Amino acid sequence: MSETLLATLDTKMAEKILRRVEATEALEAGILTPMAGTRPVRLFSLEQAERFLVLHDGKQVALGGAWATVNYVDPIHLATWVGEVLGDAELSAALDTIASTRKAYGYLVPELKELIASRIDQAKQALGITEAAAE
Amino acid sequence: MAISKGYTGKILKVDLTTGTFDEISTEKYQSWGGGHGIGSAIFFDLCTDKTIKGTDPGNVVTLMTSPLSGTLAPSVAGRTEVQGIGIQAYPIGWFTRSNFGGRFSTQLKFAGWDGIVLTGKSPKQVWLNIINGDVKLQDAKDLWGLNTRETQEEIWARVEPSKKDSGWANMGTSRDAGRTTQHPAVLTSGPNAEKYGPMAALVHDAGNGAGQGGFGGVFASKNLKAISVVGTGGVSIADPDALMKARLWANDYSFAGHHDKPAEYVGLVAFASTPGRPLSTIQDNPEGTKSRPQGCVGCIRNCRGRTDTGQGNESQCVDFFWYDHHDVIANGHVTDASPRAADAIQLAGVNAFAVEAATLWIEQLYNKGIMGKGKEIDSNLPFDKFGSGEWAEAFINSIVTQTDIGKELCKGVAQAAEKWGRLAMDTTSGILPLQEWGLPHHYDARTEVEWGYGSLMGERDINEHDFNWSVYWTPTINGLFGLEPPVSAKRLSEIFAGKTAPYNDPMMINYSDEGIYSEAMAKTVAWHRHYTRFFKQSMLFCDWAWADFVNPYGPDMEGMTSIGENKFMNAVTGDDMTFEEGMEVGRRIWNIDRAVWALQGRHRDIEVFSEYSYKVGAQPGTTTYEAPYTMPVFEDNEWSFKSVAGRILDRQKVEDWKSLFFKLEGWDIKSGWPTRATLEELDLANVADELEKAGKLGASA
Amino acid sequence: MADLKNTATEVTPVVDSKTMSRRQFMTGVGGVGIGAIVGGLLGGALLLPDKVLAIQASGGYLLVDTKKCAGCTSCMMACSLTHHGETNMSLSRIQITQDPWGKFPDDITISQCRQCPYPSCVEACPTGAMHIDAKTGVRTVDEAKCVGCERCVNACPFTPSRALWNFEEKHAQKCDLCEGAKFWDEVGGPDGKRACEEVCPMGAIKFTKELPVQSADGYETDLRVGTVWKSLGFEGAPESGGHLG
Repeated sequence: MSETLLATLDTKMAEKILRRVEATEALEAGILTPMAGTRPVRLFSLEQAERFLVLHDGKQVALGGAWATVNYVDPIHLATWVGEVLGDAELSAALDTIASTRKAYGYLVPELKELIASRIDQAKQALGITEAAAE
Repeated sequence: MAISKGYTGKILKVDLTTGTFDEISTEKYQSWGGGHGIGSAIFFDLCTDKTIKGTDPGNVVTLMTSPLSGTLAPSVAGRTEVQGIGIQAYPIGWFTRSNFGGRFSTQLKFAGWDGIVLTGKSPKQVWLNIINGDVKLQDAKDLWGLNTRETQEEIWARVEPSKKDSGWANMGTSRDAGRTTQHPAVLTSGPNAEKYGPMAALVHDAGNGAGQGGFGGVFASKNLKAISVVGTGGVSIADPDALMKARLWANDYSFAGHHDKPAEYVGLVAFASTPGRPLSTIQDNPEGTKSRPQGCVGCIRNCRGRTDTGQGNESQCVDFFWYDHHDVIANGHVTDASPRAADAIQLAGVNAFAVEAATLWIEQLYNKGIMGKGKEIDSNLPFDKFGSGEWAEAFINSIVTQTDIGKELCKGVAQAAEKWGRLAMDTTSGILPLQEWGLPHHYDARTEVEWGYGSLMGERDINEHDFNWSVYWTPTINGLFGLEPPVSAKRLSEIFAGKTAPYNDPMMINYSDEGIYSEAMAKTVAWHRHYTRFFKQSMLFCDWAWADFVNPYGPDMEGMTSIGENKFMNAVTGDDMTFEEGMEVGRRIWNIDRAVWALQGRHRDIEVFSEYSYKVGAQPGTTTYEAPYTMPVFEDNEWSFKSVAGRILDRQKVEDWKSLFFKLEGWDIKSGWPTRATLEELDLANVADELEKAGKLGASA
Repeated sequence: MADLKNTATEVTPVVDSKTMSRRQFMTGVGGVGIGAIVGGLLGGALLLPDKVLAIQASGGYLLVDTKKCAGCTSCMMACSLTHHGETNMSLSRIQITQDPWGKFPDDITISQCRQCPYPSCVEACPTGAMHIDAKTGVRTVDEAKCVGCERCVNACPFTPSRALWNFEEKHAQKCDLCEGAKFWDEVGGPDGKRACEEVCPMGAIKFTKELPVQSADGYETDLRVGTVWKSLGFEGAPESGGHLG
């Protein structure tokens, strides 16, 4: 796990950003299936959002293999959701900084994913959740 | 002049009211090509009052083949065009069309018929049994409540005499009556389909459905459960060697010519795609499921599959997609909920697009606390199991049995929304994704305008991917990963210009904020309407393979379109029709359809998109979320690919575009009705007369 | 599959170097069959020393991989098109039968003529119409000699019968490896092209000059090896959408 540059979290904040949000607050995203369509999905937690950010092989997707789908979430929308719904302004700003580079989505995903993963890790540490316990 | 090769020469007319049969000479209608063209022309002649509802006995339903049905023309032979007054669209059930694949058209041709025309209403529940020239209406009382598989298997058992030891079934008492190893092709509605008519599809084999229009319900309203056909004849081909050679030429444009070269198969194009693309069967079955690709008669793509569980057999695309993402969200990955959901709609004969839109909306209503047990819209569906196979089956069952929310949804999605007082509200916010005529939003009118305009100027979701692969998917997917599409925007405009006679305008694929309201976009929509009306819906080239604009195996990435279509047609018919002549027949068909809509109440004033199209961009937070949307644009004298996601339509500019479009089509700009001059130019004076009599003839320019 | 009565396991392949030079022959040993065959009914049979009957082998065979077949029946239409100038599944010498609700791989059966080493259809023919072509070894029909008794149709050990009754032209017919494909401007037969093989979009039909190994289910044929097939996912779907947790 890379070192996070974000400030440490207290337990209250950690619980807040790891919580499962209400259905009306879910993060809207979509599974793009080339030549088929976009299927809207809703994500209910930061952990779910992190897992949704999949490192796709762009060439493979463009060539159209059997698993040629793209899990897409608008990066700006993701940053906004983290701030406004989860209440993590700091993470939101950091995600926004990445998103604002306007790089191609495939290049943004690894950076967004890594940052979110480190924040989740940080929150879990604050709550004393170990990997073993989580499993 | 004798009828061209490829046609059988006769169309079966069934008067369901009297139980009598008649023959219509195909030659009388040959100038319309086949399929939709002939269907529209016969409808116009036989349906005396075109303002009736689809369930009225006076509705005339046609099921038509083409001269290419049952031949080796690639990805053509298996499709059948269904037409009549529909019962799905809102607020008016337009004269509409649907289309399905499989074996039906082929067996119909082999039985000696170019099509079937259904008139009247049977006094009792019947099914139509066609064995070559032997045609009977038979009692269907005991079939009426059966699902689509049960119906078909029961009919097979009744039609197929016990096969001889040789495995060949004799289709008559004489040994020369004809033999076949093939099952009869049966087209059927689901159980008691009159009770959920607007949602009811017609289904053939495991996964061929004519969903749009509610034709399952129209069949049931005529007391007709199913049509079975088996034939032992053939389709006479004008130039067999030319047809063989054309087919092998086409192989080089498809996977068929490139099995052993993994580096060369390419995804985001239609004709050249690998079999099973998009691989719904593989993508939408649980891990480890083994399968095969499976195709309609004569297909070169074979886009569906069958599995080692038998689940999800022959389903494709929206058959799975109406539910698979709910499965994934609930379960983390695809489980058997996805194929169970696909099977549920196939067995019940329910329109997949309608339930897809309904499910997205229902989920929102549930999450907002509006729908559910004891809520404003009371429902006992197991929402705690949303995403499971159980929920999917319970939901479909509620429609088929008209229970729970199905009590209203059985009347149609827009109709249910109206009943629940939510239609205007939810199509303004966009949570109810019905974009034109109360029908499910497919590709987005705000971004990919040729799809939206085509649907609005027509009568249904066009569901025609001719432009879509090249102008949306390829640049969008490549753009997501910073990859250069194999064809640049400039080159793409040249390819399209070269293949879009008679317009041939490179600006036709300019999807910029200005381009979407331009005269060039009017040409795009006109070309698309005319092309599909003739080549895809009359000649029955399949949408999942044609048009072939961009093809990685073609010279300079150019596909077969504008050359290939007529190569196959002329080899079969012996005629020498040009591509441009085909386009002109398409224009003629488009005009007769437009005339019928005018008679039904069409006027430019009601040709408007749902409110959300003008108010909300396709941004996160709406159910119609389709972003990014990268398309070719011509801006500052330069072609590029650019994201147009989030765009909303300008109401006045859409109106101005409609005027451009009507002018291009030679229609009255004030009403959008065809004019006498245009109709007479197309040898449709009789159509002009009928419009004039009804006060619906467009004023001359 | 219980329909297999006549396979290579019942005969022993030999090559007679003296009288038949390089041509491959199949032999049937002893029994009633010899008498009948020696009686002149089997066009391509030769009597060898020590009562070994040699039957000229076909110059080639159609291999099919049913797991690769997509059921599009293009092969059936190509067969009738090239032989009869019309697309007519009832006249096709290769037959695809399928069950839309069946379970892969048992949902599709491809019934192609095996060009049997010991062809019952040839043996059953009372006029020599059904015969072994001396040049190519292909089991085929001399339509002019056919009297329409359909004994060949009934004698075929496979279901559906690979010999079929052409009810339009009133004669028996069967796969001739396109030697008689008169509506196709290509050379057919073992040294030419076969319409079904050429047209198949899946590459599920291949021609071979080697006698295929047979099992109760047909030829043991895997035409997926060495192609992109495996990468397409048909041999086991990957976990799909498994990223959402």
